[in-house]
Parts: sequence; C-alpha cells; structure tokens
Amino acid sequence: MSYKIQQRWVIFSFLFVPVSLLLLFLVYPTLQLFHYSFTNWDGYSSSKSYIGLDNYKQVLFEMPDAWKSIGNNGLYFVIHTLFIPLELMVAVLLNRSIRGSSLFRFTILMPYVVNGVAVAYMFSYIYYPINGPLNSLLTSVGLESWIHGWLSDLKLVNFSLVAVSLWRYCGVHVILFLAGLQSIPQDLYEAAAIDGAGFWRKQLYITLPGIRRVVEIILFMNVTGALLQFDIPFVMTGGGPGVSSSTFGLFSLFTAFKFNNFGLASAMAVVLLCLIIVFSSIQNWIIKDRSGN
Amino acid sequence: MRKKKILQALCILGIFSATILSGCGSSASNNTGNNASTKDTNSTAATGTNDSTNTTAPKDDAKPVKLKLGMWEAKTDIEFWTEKVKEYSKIKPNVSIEVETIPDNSGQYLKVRLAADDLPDLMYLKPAHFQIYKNSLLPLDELKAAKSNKFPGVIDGQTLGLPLVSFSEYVYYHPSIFQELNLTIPQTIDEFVNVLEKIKESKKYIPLALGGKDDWTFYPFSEFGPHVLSKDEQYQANLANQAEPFGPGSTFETVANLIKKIADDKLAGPDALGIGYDQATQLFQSKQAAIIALGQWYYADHLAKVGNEDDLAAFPMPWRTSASDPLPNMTLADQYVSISKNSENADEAKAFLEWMFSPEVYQPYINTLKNTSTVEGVTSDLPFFNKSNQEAPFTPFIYDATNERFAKVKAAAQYDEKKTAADIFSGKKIEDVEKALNASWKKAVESVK
Repeated sequence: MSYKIQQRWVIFSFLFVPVSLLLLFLVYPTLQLFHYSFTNWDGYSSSKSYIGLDNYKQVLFEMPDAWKSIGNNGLYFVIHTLFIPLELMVAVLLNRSIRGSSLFRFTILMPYVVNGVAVAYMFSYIYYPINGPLNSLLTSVGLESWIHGWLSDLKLVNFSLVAVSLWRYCGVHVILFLAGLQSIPQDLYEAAAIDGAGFWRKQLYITLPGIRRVVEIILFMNVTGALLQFDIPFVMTGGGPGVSSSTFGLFSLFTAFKFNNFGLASAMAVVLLCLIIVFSSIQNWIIKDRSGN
Repeated sequence: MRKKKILQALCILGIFSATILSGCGSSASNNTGNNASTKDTNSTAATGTNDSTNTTAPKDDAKPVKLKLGMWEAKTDIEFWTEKVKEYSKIKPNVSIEVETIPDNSGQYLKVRLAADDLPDLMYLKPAHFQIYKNSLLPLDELKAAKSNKFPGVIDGQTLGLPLVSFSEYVYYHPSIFQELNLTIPQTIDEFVNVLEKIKESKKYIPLALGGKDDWTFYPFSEFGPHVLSKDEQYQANLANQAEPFGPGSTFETVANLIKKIADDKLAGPDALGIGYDQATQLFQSKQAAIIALGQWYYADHLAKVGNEDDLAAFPMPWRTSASDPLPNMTLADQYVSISKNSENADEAKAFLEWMFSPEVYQPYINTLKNTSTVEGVTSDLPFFNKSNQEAPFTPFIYDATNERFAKVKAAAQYDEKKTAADIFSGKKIEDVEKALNASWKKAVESVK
C-alpha cells in the first residue's frame, strides 16, 4: 500500500466517527425537519400526506399569534442589544486592576451558571403578587404605587421576563468581552499613550477593532438567544396570560404537542432558522470591517 | 512496519464501526417480555418473589412476565398502586408490575412514546386522548371489568379504556365565612356572582381563589361552563359542525361575560393571573379565600393539606339562569386504563386489568381516592359529598369528550378554552376574542373533512 493510500486511510478513519455523528445528529434531523414541513404529519401517525407549501402559507399569512410571538422575541432581541454597550463598559472596567475585580468577574458570571429553570422559579417567587420580595421591597421604600401585576399585566409581562433574561445572560457577554479585551496586546495601549491618545481614543481605535470577533460572536448569540428564547416564559408564565408572553419557540412547541401538528411546527422551525440566518447576516454586514485591512 | 500501521488503522476503524453499529442496532432481543423503555420509570417494580421464581424456575413453567403500568403524577394513585401491585405478584409469581410515572397528563410524553411504538403495556388515558391512541389500543369488550363498568371508553363501537374514577365538579367553600356574612348557597349564575360580590364587600376575604397563572385552573368555567349551559351532552360534536359558534347569544359568550365580570370586579383577588394553582389552594386552605371551584378530586388534596374537613362544604356550580330549572352538574369519568395493542403480554395485561377492577382491589382504591366508583356493585364511601348532594341536589351532566371531529377541528383551530379564558381575564375584549376564534374555527371546520 502506497504512502498516499495510507494517509487517506488514516484521514478516513479519523474523520469517520465525527462525520458520521454529524450526519446522524445534525444533517439527517435537519433534512427531516424540511421534509416534515411539507406534510400534515400529526406527530404520531405512521402515515402523512404532502401538502406542498400550505404550512408555510399558514405560518406566514394566517397565524397572527405566531407573529405576535415573534414580536415578543423581538423585544428580547432589542433590549439585549441595547444592553451590549453597557456590558462592554462593565468589561472595560473589570479589565482594569481594581480591588475586588476578580470577585466581580465571578459574581457576574454566576447567573449564567445557574440552571435556567431554577432561575425562572426564583424570579417567579420574586414577582409573586402576595408578599413577593419585589413588592415587599417597593412597599418598604414607600413605592406602593409602583406595584403591578408583574406577570399578569399584558403591558408589563414581557418586560418582566426580559429582565430575567438580562439578569441571566448579561454576565456571559461581559466575560466574553473581557476575554476579548485581554487578548489585545498592552503595548498597543502604551504606544497610543506615548502618542498622546486619551482613554476614549484608545477604546475607539484599539479596543473596538481588537474585539470585533468577540462582538460578532456576542451579536450572533444575541440573535439566536432572543429568537430561541424558551425556558423563561415556559416556566414563569407558560406563554400567558393567554398567549401574551409566548415566544416563537413556545408557540411551535404547543403547535406540535398540544395541537398535534408536527408539520406546521416544522415549518415554524424552518422559518425560525431562516430568521436567524437573515438577522445574523445583517448584523455581520453592519459590523463588517470596512477599513480595507 | 507499514503492514502493522495498516492493521492498526483497520483495527481502530473496526472498533469505531462496531461501536456505532451496536449503538444503532435494535434492542428488541434484550426486551423480551417488556416492550417499554426502562427510562423515566418510578422503579417500583413489584418483583416480590419474582426474582427467585426466575432463578429457581417456577413449578408451572410459567414464563416470567414484566408489565408496565404507566400513570401520570397523581400522588395518591402512584402510592396506592405501587404497594398494591406487590399483592398481584404473590398471586402470580411469574408476573411483576412496574409502576411507571408519566410526566404529564396532557399526553405529550405518551404521544412521543406512541410515535416510537413504545407505549407501556397498560396506561392511564384521558377521554379526550382516545382519538389519538385508538389505533394502538386493545379492544376490551370481552372483559368482565368492561361489562361492569358504568362509563367504558367506547370509540367506534369498541371499548378501549375503563375509567378508574368518576367525579363531579364542585364549588368548595368555608361554611364559617358564609355564616359570618349571612350567605346562602347560590342557585343561579347571577346569585353566584352576588355571593362573590358580598364576600368582596366584607373586605376580609378574597371571594374566589383562582390560580390563573396556571391557565388550566379556568377549566370549570371556560371548558365546562358553555357545555353545561348548552344543556346538550353532544355540545362538542355539534360545535365541530358550526362555522362560527363563538358569538352573541352563545353559551361561550355567557361564560366569557362571567369571567370578565370576575376579572373586572377583582372577585378573584387583586392579581389572580399572577398566582398559580398551588398558591390559590393555599389561599383557600388558609381561609384567606372563601371559595374555590374545582373537581371532586380536590377533596383528598384538601384533607391531606388541612387535616380535616371541619370548615369545608361544597355545592355544584349553579349553571342555570332560573332556580326553578333543573340543576345540571358536570360529571365525568377519568383515569381510563387502556392496554397497548403492541404489548407482548396482552393476555397477562388483560388479566391484570381484571384484577385492578375486581371488588377486593377496586374498593380500597376508590375509598383512598375519595372519588365516585365506576364499577357496578362497588359503592364509594363519600359522606362529605353525600351530604353536599343532599343539600344541593343536581342532575349529572355526562361529559363526552371523545368526539373525533371536534378533536380535529379544535386542533386545527388551535383552540384552547383555558388560554382563551386567561385572555379574557387579562382584559382582552370579548368581541375581539370571538372574532379571532370564529375566523380560525371557520377555517378549521372547512379544512377538516
């Protein structure tokens, strides 16, 4: 056997397992998802019929509640995006040698480490209308008028849930920013200081270009996280009252399991996949390096 | 040297391939006598003497059989059957029964098992779910237990499940509060609302405990209300043939107005949508709330939490507009036990089902659950409800939730009575809700042939 064939055998043998796993657990289910989205499969019957693009038509034009759910996902996306500059500022502050910064770093990551369902239960208790900690706090500081139905007021419920999401995910963004900041060589800052650059100029011309990749990752995580948001509304409100706090993922779940329409739910999943691709591409285009370097 | 390398590479490849192939292979051969997965089980197998029987070879050469009995997380049921099935293994040493907990009673978990052709041998089902499982269930018509059951689950002419319990819906209340506020049992819907208003005026108690955050707690109103008010036991079947059934003059609208009244006047407390079922029952049990509307099944829960029934009474929800009309009360059978058609031990499963419904087993079961018997000749010992029924007699209104067309139309329209009630309770206009419902219902009726 020639050396070239030997090389191919080794490459083949090493790639066989990961590629097989990839095909089995990623490519095959994705293809099946597309397949189901063109059928009226109920999720348990052995037979299914092809119905063309009917499921897509229904998702896009006949399901106002689905679009309302997407709107709720949009709220998560917008508010999380608005918080990204703040997260970057916190990371910049933590990157400096200040007393207790290591404790802050640990503390800020903690919410992400805690199980999502536990977080949702914890905040359910905090928002509890009868003697809940939040209402008790507001009462003790004389702000009874601020007390609302945190999870029952239609205008407020989604903001209450987004606040939980922010509490949980902001920390991991800060840590990622911190990792990006620490990868920037210090001599760049020193050279800039010699050239007379101030704090803000250094951030603009060194820090921001230096963490572009991290920003890309965080923005991608933001899009996927917002559009796939599921556990917090599922545990805290079940998408309620009614479908007021439902997200697209939750809506798809109910469509598949409660209403036995896996075909329609698959079409929703494909639409969601497309939305993630579109939004991520737009974001990447916006923050593209146009300096020509 | 080169040959050695090739051999090594081939060995590695062979090991990987063998691992994957063995992982993907059928495990049927390992599942003899047990067609269900061993995952997520309560691991309460009543092996009893079974292990020793297996190893020492039974005298009658009976094949060792393991049956799975799937039931949802009803604590009393799980505790009762986990202990009781041990007795069965004494009668039939070759048969062991494993009580398996089904994580939800809305059927989602079992649907996945159905799709994977992996149903437990015996399982609890809700009547509304028969249409989903009917092709995978064994007909039970020839069983003695089927002939003596008052509410057999008959689909397309075949008995597919036998209910363990039947119960009626009640409004539980604290007699001491009624006495203190000089209230009497309401006879009509208007009187019911008046009672709630008077309790609210006292400013001492929350009139109605409602855990609206768990939207299923609206079922006594939104699911059963329109049905009972229609006075038609085939209400659901008829609904499935109407294009726009949710509008002015409909029983749906009557109940929607009642829900809106309760919400607008804060008759269920300041934030009923912010609390769930557990908190609502705690409010009632601690006498902070005066009334709670739930099924007969709640009684055992109340006794377990409070320890006595000293300040507890019940009356049927007065779904009528005139006190001179007969008072219908929603009565339904539940916890249907069915047998999987694909059970490898169907005969043993049938024998076990007969044993479950035999008087010596069923009588202690129904006494423990404090529900009404479904078996002819077995009466439930229910002094609390007997007293309530004497004080406020009613006509049972049998709930038929097995209509196939209704199930299909409802799924196609994505109609959820409880979520709709929560929508109305949260402040959505009834006419807007009705408009949206009628639009989706009409499409669904047209699409379901």
